[in-house]
Amino acid sequence: MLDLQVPLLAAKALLLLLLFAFIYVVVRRGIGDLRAVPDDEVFVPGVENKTPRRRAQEKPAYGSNGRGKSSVLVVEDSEVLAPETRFPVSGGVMVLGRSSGSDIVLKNDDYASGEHARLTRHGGLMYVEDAESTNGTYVNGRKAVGATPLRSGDRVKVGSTTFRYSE
Amino acid sequence: MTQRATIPMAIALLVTTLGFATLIFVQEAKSPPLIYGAYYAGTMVALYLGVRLWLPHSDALLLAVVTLLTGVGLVMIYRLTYDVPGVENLATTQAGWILVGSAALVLTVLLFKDYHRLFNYKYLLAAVAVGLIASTIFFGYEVNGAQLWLRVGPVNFQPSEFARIALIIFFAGYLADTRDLLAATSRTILGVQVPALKYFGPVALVWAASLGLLVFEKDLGSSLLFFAVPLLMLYVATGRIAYVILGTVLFSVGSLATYFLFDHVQVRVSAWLDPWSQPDTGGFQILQSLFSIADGGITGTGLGEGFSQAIPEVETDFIFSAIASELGLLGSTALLLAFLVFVYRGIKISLLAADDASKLLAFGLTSMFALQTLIIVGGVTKAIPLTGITLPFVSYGGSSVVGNFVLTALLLLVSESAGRRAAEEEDPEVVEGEAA
Repeated sequence: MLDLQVPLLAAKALLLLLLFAFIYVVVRRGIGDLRAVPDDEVFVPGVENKTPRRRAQEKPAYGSNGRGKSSVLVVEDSEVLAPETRFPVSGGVMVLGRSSGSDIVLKNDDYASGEHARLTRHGGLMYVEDAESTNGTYVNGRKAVGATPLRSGDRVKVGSTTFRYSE
Repeated sequence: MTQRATIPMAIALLVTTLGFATLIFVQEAKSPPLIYGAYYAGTMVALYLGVRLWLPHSDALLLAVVTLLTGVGLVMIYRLTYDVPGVENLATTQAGWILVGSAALVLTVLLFKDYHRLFNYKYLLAAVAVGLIASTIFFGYEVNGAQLWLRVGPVNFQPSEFARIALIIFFAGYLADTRDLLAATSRTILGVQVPALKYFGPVALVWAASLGLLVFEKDLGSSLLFFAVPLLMLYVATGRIAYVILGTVLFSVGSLATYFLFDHVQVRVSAWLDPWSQPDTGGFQILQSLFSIADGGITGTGLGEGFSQAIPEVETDFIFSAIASELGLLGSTALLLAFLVFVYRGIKISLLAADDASKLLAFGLTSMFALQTLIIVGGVTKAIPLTGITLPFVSYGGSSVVGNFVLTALLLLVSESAGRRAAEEEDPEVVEGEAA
């Protein structure tokens, strides 16, 4: 009986082991992008190498995380700001609006609300969200409903001002 | 979005091989036609290579998860039916269905590489979906008290499995067009903002028609999905919590109504609340399921050692109990984690997709997949009242397997377009070169 029990037990253990090996491999590949290091955290090289999605490839993963990247909003067209003014976008929450407490102040813009839109970095993507403004926030000409992820080259319109977002 | 998954694919196939080997060796089960196992492995590998070739930017990790789930399902179906007279060929039939499903996946990928075309036919798809569901009333026949099956030539199938996908495409296409109009509304009834009938009408009509028909056909599991998925899509499209509140109220009213209208709902609920009051009748199935799961313990009884064959319908609805019994808490946790990875990738695809319709499509398909898993796993573990639906990819069932392969195909297509766009942004020339 014993010689039957041992391989049975071994097979059982091996099966469970393989199942979890599968989960481990899949999670490492599939969920690595969740572990984006926040911008204000110190960059540790050893950690980075454990969580890449496409390490083997020559190109970095698309916008997979904000490390080392500096994003800017560039004024394209505005009634109140000089064209080509650059606003670096850091981590955390940034507020765009007419009130002087905003991070990007759209002074005297009749079309902008006091607190018009918010920029948030989350999971390696920059999101713009309308802060219940009167006239709405537009991304590439479409009204933003809820948090809308931004990609390099997108046009964000707040009040009378159109920004170009670039990473 | 680009994901390779060669190692996960290999491990998934190893799991299947080891499972069959254990059954054949230790249990002295008669060897199944080995050629079927080879067909299965060959199909999945060919599918993976094909997807890597045709959709180089897509998320092939989904396929690795599909391979694991179908493989574990095949092993369990074989284990549960090989010595049961009358159903001993179920595993080979399932292997055949996986082949058909893979063909359906390839066809979908080749025919609808530009899946945006599907949204042009959204009204047609909605009509087809409602027609499919309605067809079983006239042409269908009953299995286990619900008339859900259609016979076309030698093949029996469950149209609601395919109607689901068509409906999600309709909702995605329609909501993407009208979401701003649905979100921006000023009229209120009883303090709840309601959208104009002109825009909400088609959604409500299709929704009500499909739900009404399913409830009429007593397909409660599907009704639950058909109710919840459009609601979630509506919420995601508009960002209005009012829809969720309204949906919850409607759900409560609807559940109460069905409870009082249908006997079998009362039977299910009483079996859920107190199976011990009727251990030989209404509570038998759920009690056997609980015994099996408890018998498994942490590491399980080992393949072929459990007694989960005592559960009626074990190879379809209750396959999770059998897995929990023979692979234990660890094995069933791994399986649920595999489902979780699939859902996570689905949501990720939805986040990275370019346009509203694609986002909503990926989200709708993923949430349906997730809810289906939740409903049936919750049901067999007595966390919620049992409603009979299949565990995606694992349960025996041709329509379910083929339907889920089509679902995967659509997710792969959305991820391909998202991945291609991302690659273009990084390095336009490379992608143009590939296209040329």
